Amino acid sequence: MSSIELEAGLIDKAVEERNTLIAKAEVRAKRILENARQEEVRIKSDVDRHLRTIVGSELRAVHDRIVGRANLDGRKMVMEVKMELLDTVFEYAREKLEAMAKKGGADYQEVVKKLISEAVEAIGEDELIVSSNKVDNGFLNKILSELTKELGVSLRLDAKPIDAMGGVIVKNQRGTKVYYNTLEGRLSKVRGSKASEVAEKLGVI
Amino acid sequence: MDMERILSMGSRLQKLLIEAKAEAERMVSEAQKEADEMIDAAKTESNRRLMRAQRGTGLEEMLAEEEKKAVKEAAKVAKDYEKQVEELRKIPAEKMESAVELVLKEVLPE
Repeated sequence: MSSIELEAGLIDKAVEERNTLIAKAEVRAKRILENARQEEVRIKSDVDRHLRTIVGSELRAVHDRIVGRANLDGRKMVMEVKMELLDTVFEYAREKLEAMAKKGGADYQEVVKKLISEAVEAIGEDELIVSSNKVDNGFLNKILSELTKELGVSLRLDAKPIDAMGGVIVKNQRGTKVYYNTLEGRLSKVRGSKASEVAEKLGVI
Repeated sequence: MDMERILSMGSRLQKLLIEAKAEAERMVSEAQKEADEMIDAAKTESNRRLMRAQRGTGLEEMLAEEEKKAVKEAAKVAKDYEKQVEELRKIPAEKMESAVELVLKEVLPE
């Protein structure tokens, strides 16, 4: 082996050894810093946990105030939309009833007869006064005597029409018993008693 | 003559390695110093926060952080409700019709 080759070999070995030393040191330094960062996180997290036990109730109060409000507002918003949907259903129903009453066809006349019959049964007296709107007065005038026979009571049509979409108000002679059987009255009653069933039909419960 | 040169070079290379060792030790030592400082700072800050909390002060930061988290959670809650409302408004016409029929059935006498 020539002296030049020997020199080159020594230089290569020394450089390799140097590089190894530096590389190992770099790895070790990196690990030391990484461990320190983890320890730093652990210390912070420990103190956070400790602090939470000290001020937990205040933190919960902050959380509950903000998130609670969002929940409340959200529930209110959902409730309002459900009410809007119910309003829409009842408004459609009202429109249909109004159209049926305005048309005044045989179906509607049958409905009015049943409304009168129901009122008569509820009041339970023999002489009664039937009030209806101006349009219904027209056909009631014609069928009231027939209805009187059918129901076995005396029915008289009030000359003064009522302001209603349709249906009737029936009262006894002295006016001490009054049965409100107008379409809007019945609709309002259904709104009060069947809202949850309607909501179920809509699938919003 | 060659032997002398080789010995001289050997000595220089030895010096290079000693310097490299020193450099490596310096790197590790600096990293250790930095790590110790980080941990000391974290401990000091933790103690300071704990002491302030025990005195009932210095909670603003935690409360602000909690508030920030709560605001984020509230936004998600609001979004969920908005989605629910959006779904509610998509009621099919058949369901609406069926609900109207139910109302009419109840309103009109049998």
